[in-house]
Amino acid sequence: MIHFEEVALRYGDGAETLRDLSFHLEPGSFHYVVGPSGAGKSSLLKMMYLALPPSDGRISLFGRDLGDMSRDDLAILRRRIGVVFQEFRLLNHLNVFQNVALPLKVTGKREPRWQAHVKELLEWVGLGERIHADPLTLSGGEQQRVAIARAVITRPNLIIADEPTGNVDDRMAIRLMYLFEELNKVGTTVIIATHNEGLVDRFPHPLISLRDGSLEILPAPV
Amino acid sequence: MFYSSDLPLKKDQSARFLPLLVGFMVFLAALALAGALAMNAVVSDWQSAFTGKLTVQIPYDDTASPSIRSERLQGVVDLLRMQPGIGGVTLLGPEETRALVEPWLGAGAALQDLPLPSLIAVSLDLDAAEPDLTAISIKLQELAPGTQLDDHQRWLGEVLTNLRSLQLLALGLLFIVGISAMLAVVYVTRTGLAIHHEVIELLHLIGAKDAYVARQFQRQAFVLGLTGGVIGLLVAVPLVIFIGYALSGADSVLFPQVEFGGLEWGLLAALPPVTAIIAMITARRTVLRGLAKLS
Repeated sequence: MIHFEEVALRYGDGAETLRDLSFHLEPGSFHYVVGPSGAGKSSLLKMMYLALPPSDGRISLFGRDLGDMSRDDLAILRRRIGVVFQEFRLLNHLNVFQNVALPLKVTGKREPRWQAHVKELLEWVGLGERIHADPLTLSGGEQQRVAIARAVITRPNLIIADEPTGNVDDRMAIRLMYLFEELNKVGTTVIIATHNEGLVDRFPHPLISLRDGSLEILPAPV
Repeated sequence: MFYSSDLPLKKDQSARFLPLLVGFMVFLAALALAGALAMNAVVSDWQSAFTGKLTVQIPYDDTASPSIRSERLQGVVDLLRMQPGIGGVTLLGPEETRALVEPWLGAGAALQDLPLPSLIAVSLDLDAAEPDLTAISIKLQELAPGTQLDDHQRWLGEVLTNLRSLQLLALGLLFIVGISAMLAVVYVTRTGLAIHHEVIELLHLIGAKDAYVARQFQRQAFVLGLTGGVIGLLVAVPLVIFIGYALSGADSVLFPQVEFGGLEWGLLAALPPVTAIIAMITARRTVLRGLAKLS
């Protein structure tokens, strides 16, 4: 599924943010990315969801080496990845429905085929009454749920979430974690960056631990 | 239920002036195109009017008696009629000859006394082989010294060259206007790419291809180009009609009656959609090239 081989990342001419990363994640696995602030969690996720190319090393995703892929091939590969961004990245000129439907729209599928599906998912995340709302009128938690709905709407093979429960209350955090668990049970690979130790303890899965730019895979906490 | 664009391009300040700019460009382009088409009509008119036409001019010989002058004239007419390739020979009477010079000299008693040359209008048989004008000219000189055979090509050539130059100038102006409009679209598109780079990045991250992003810009450019084009044409057409009306009223010798037909009006009407399509293609290429540099 995800294969990193001696991957390093540096921004511009600066020092390496991440170095010598080599690991392999199996399809259908569930991992947390943990580590102190500034350890490079977001940078690692960005390389995984193809927002950043590595400075060195090789990354392969779904069995394909990213190094020799065209921009169009990368776009098609990204459609198999659902991303929950830390800062949500909702489009404020589109309403909730339009934001969630966007990953379906860019694939060229026509609206009648997925309209009901989008509404159903929004109902599930508790935003059924707010499908026409502008994102700026939503609370932080509601925006986060819209971002999560957008990430999972295409039923991706891989879900990468950066602090997906950071802005929701504990009840909603647990509800969202159940969603990720359910998706994982049907074969979706899930990678979640989090600081929430309680959540890691309640839903135990192996850890990708980052510290000082280096990576270590740890077993699920008992 | 969906917004027409995933990018909020309608709100861009840089895009708001584009219809006005394109409108002005199309206004200029319409005038230039109308000018070029009018020149074309004039050139065709002049060419068809003088193709296969000759004029023979026999100078007035005050040393010869009227009967000798009449004999020479008839000799010239007979000679011309015998030449192969000559279709028709018409001797212009004194009244017709005076009518030709009247616009320059004015009507009056003095005109009656002027020793005007005799004129013969000759039309060529266009189906037959072209006559040897040099040989005919030599024969005419022998029969009536001083006789000139004018095929109008020398002065017509100069006039047509000048008209063609004006036509090229108008088409050049059309080209420059087109390039300027394209540069404006490139500028607006690049500005849009810079303003919306975060949204574009997000679209890429959720799986949009470059072509999908380009479609957002090209649709916008098409609408703005068409809007501007229609505005420019609506302002230009009354002016073109007015200029055409003014020229027809002037009874100009250089500009004979030029009337636009369906083809000419069709070409002018095609300016807005053509402008919109050029704007659309320009925007698309600008976006695709801009995004390719991100690789």
